[in-house]
Amino acid sequence: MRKRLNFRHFDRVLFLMPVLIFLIGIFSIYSASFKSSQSFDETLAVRQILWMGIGVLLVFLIVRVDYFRLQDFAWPVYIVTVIMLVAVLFMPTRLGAHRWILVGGFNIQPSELAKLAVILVLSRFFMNYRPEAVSGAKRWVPFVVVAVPFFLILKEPDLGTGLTLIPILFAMLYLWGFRTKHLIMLLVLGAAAAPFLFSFLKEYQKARLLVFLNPNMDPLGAGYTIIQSKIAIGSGGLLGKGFMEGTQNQLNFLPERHTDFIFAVIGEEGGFVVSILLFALFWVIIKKGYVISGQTPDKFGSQLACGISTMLAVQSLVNLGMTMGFLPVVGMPLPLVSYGGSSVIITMLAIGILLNIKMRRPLF
Amino acid sequence: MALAVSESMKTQRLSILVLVGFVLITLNLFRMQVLKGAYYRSLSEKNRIRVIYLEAPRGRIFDRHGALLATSRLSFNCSVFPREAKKRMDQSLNVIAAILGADAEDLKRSVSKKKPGVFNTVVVAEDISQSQALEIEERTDSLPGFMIETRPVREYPQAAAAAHLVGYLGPMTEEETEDLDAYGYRQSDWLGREGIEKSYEGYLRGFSGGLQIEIDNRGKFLRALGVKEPKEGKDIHLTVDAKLQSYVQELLGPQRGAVVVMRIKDGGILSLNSAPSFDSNLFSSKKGRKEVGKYLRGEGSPMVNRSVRGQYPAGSIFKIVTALAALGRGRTSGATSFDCAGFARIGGTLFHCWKEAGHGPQNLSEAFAHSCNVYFYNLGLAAGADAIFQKAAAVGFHRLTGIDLPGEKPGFVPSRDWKRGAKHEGWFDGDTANLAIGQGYLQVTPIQAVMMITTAATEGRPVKPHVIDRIEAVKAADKSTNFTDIPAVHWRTVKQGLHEVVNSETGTGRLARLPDVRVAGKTGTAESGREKTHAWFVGFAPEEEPKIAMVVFLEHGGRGGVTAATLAGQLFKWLKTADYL
Repeated sequence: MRKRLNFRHFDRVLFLMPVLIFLIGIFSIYSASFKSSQSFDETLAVRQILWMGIGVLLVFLIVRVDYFRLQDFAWPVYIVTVIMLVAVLFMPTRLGAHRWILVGGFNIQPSELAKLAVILVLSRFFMNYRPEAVSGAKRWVPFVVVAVPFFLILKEPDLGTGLTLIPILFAMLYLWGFRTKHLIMLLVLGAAAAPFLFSFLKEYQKARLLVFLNPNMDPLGAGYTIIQSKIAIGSGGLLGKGFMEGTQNQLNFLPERHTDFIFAVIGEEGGFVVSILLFALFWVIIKKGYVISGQTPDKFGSQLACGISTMLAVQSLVNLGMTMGFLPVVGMPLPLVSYGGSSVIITMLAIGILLNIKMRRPLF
Repeated sequence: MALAVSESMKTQRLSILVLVGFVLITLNLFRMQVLKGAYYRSLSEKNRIRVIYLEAPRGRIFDRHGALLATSRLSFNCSVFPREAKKRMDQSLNVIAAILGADAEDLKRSVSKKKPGVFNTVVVAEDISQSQALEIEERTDSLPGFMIETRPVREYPQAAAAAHLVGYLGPMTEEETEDLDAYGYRQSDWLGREGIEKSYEGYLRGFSGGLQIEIDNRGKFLRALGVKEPKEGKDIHLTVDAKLQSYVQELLGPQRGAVVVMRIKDGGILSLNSAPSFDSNLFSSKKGRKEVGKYLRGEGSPMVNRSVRGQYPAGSIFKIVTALAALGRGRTSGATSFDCAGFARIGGTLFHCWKEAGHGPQNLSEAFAHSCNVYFYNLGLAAGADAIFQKAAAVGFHRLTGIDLPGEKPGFVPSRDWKRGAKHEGWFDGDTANLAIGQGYLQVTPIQAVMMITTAATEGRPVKPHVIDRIEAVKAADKSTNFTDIPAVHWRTVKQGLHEVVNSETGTGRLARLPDVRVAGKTGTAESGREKTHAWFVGFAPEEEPKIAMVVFLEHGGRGGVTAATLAGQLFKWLKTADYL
C-alpha cells in the first residue's frame, strides 16, 4: 500500500541543510570571483543562485511524483546519458577536456547526470534480483552498468567524476547482500588493475597523481595548486581572515578557486569554525540519507537513498581531502558549494529524491 | 522484519565509515589551521613565495656537417615584481633608465600597461647588454622587486639563406595557450611557426622548470619550497648542406624562385631554397617583430616557401609525363616522328611551336632536345588526356610529396571529370594539347618536379623527400620507396631524350652541361599570363649512376634554357667540387 503525498512528512531539516551549505558556497564564490569592475548582477554568484533556483524548483517538482515511478525512467535516463557521454567526446575542448555539451545555450556536463543515472539503474536491478538468485550473464549487469559511463568519463577526461562511481557501486552492492569477502576480492582486483588504468590516463592526470605523492615534484604546475591551497587553508586559522579578506584568495594566488578549490576560500576566510560547520552540515545530510535507506522497506527506495548518500559522501570527502592536500587532485566539485550549474542541479535532484523517499515511506 | 533490521545495520556501518572520513579531515584541518596556522599565515601574509622560471633551452638545428642552422643565445631581461616594487617603482625606474640610457617615461608606461599574475614578473627592458645587466644586478639591494632574468633568444646563423627551411618562432595565441596548457606550455612560450621549427616543435622544445622559493621580508632567498629541473629540447640534424644552401641563395640573388637539390639514394634534401627570403632572426626579438610586418605585406611575398608551397604551370618539363603516357599506350616507340612546321591546327585553333620556323621532322629524342611543342601536341593527342593524368599522378603530381616541412601544397592536374564538374564544360583536344606541354590548368610545385625527375633518374623508384637526418642520435628518415608501374624500358627511352636536352649541340639545356660529369635534364619555359615566362630546369647527374636530382625554378625568369639551365650548371659544378657527384 503506497501513501499519498503528504507534506506533513516533508523533512524540513533535510531541505534546510543543503540551502545552508549553498549559502556558504554563494558567499565564497562571490568572494573568490570578485572583480571591482563587475556589477553585482554580473557575478558568478548571481548565476549560481539562478542554478539553485532551478534546483529548488526541481525538488518541489520531484517530490510530487511517487519515487517508485522513477523505476520506469531508470533505463531511458541511463541510455540518454550514455549517448550524451559519447557525444561529448566529439565536442570541442574547453580547458583541455571534452566535458561539456552545448544544449540551448547552456553548457551541460553529462558526467554529472551519469552519477544519478547509474544509481537509478542499479537500484532498479537490485530491487528486481536477489543476490543469491542472480546467475549467468545477469550477474555482470551492475558492473557493466558502471563500466560503460566510467570509461567514457575517463576519456573526457574527468577522473574525479569517473572514480565517484566505484564507491557508489560498492556501497550499493554491500546493501544488496553481496558478500563482504567478494567485495574485498573486487577491491584487490581493482588495485591490481590500477597500473593498467594509470596508462589509460592523460599525461597531466598522471602528473597530478604523482604530484600528490610529492607536491614539490612540480611546484609550478600541478603541485602549485596544492601548495597554494594548503597555505590558504592553513593561514585561515581558528576564526578565519573574514569575508573578502583572504589574501591568498583576493590576490589570485589560487587557481580554480571558485570551482574545485572553493574550500580553500572557505578555509582561509572562514577559518576552522566555518569549516567544521560546513562539515557538520554535510554529515547531517549524509547521515539522514543512510537512515532513510535503512528504514525504507522497499528495495528500490532503500538502494536509491544509499546510492545518493554515498555519492554525496564521496564527493564531499574527496573534494575536501584534495583541497587540503591529503588526497590527489582529481577534479571534483564540492556539492552545492563549487560553482557550476550541472553539479548544483543534479545534487538538488538527488536531495529531492531523498525527501521523496522519506515522505512516501510506508509506516508500519 | 529481519531483513529491514539487517539493512539498517548495513547503512549504519556505511554511515560510520563516512563519519570516520569526516573525523579524519576535521583532525587534519585542526592540524593545519590551529596547530600550524601561524606558519601558513606567515607564508601567506608576507607574500613570501616567489616563482622563478628556469627556461629550458630549445634544441639546436645542425646541417649534415654539423654547422649550426639554429641555436639559442642567452639574453638578459630586466624584470620587476610589481607588488614588491610598489612604492619605489618610479624612483627605481629612473635609476634603471639611467643605466640603460633609456627614457624613464617609456619604461613606466610599458610597466604600467601590463597586468601580471601575482607570481610573475613584468619585463622592463628586453635583451640588455651583459654589462648593463651586471650593473643592475649589483644595485638590486636599492631596487626592491627588480631583477635580472635570463631568457634564451633564438639565433639563426644562416639568416635569410635558410629562413624558409629552418623557420622561426612566434608567441602563442590565446587559443593555442588553452589547447596546449595540458602539455606544459605556458603563455609566454614561443612556438615554431615555419619550417623545421614548426614541423619538429615537439622535439625541439624544452620543458621549462622553475623554483618556488620562500623569501624574507627584504626579498632575500630563505629556502626553496620546490624545484623542477628544466628539460632541454632535442638537437636536430638535417640532411641539408649549409654551404650549398647559402651558395644557392647567393646565386638566386634578387630573383624570385625556388631551388631544391636532393640526394637520389635516400631522398635527403641537400638544399631547399626560396627567394626572396627574409631574416628569420628578426622574429626572435620584440624589436624585430615590428619590422616583420613589412615582410608580410612585402613585394614578392617573401614569407612563402616557394619550393613546397608555390604552385606554377610546369611548362615543358611536363613533356616527360606526356612521353610516358604515349609510350604507355603504345602510341610511339620513340622512333616515331612528327613533322613540325612551327604550328599545328587542333580543333580549329592554331597551336604554335616556340620556334616559329618549325623544327622539321623530329623523333622523340630530338623533340626532347629541342623541346618541340608541335611534336608533343601530337604525342599528347595520341596518348589522350586520361593517360596523361594517370602518368602525372604516377610520378607524384596532384598530391603531396610528404616532405617534412609545413604547408606543402598538392598542385593540380586537370582531368576530364574535373572539367565537367567544375567548369561544366567538355574536355577539348585543345585542353589535351595544352596539358601535353605543361600549360593550361596544370599547377605543380618545385618539390613535385624534383620527385618527377628523381623517378626518371631511378627508372621508376621515387624516394620520399625529407630534410631531417636524425634527432640526437636517432635516425629519423623514412626511406620508403614505391615502385611506379611504368616499365623501365619506357624510362630509358625518356632518359635518352633527357640526355640529348643537355648534351646535344642543339639541346635547349646545353648550358647545364659539364665537362667531367654527364648531366641529363629538361628545360621548361612556362607561360603565365602576359608577364615574363617562368624558367624551369629539372635534372640529375651523373647520368650513368644518378646521385643528385635538382629543380631550378625562376619566377618570371625568362627562358628555362637560358637562366634556369645556367644556374643548374653552376650548381652541378659546385656539387662536383664538393664531391657529391
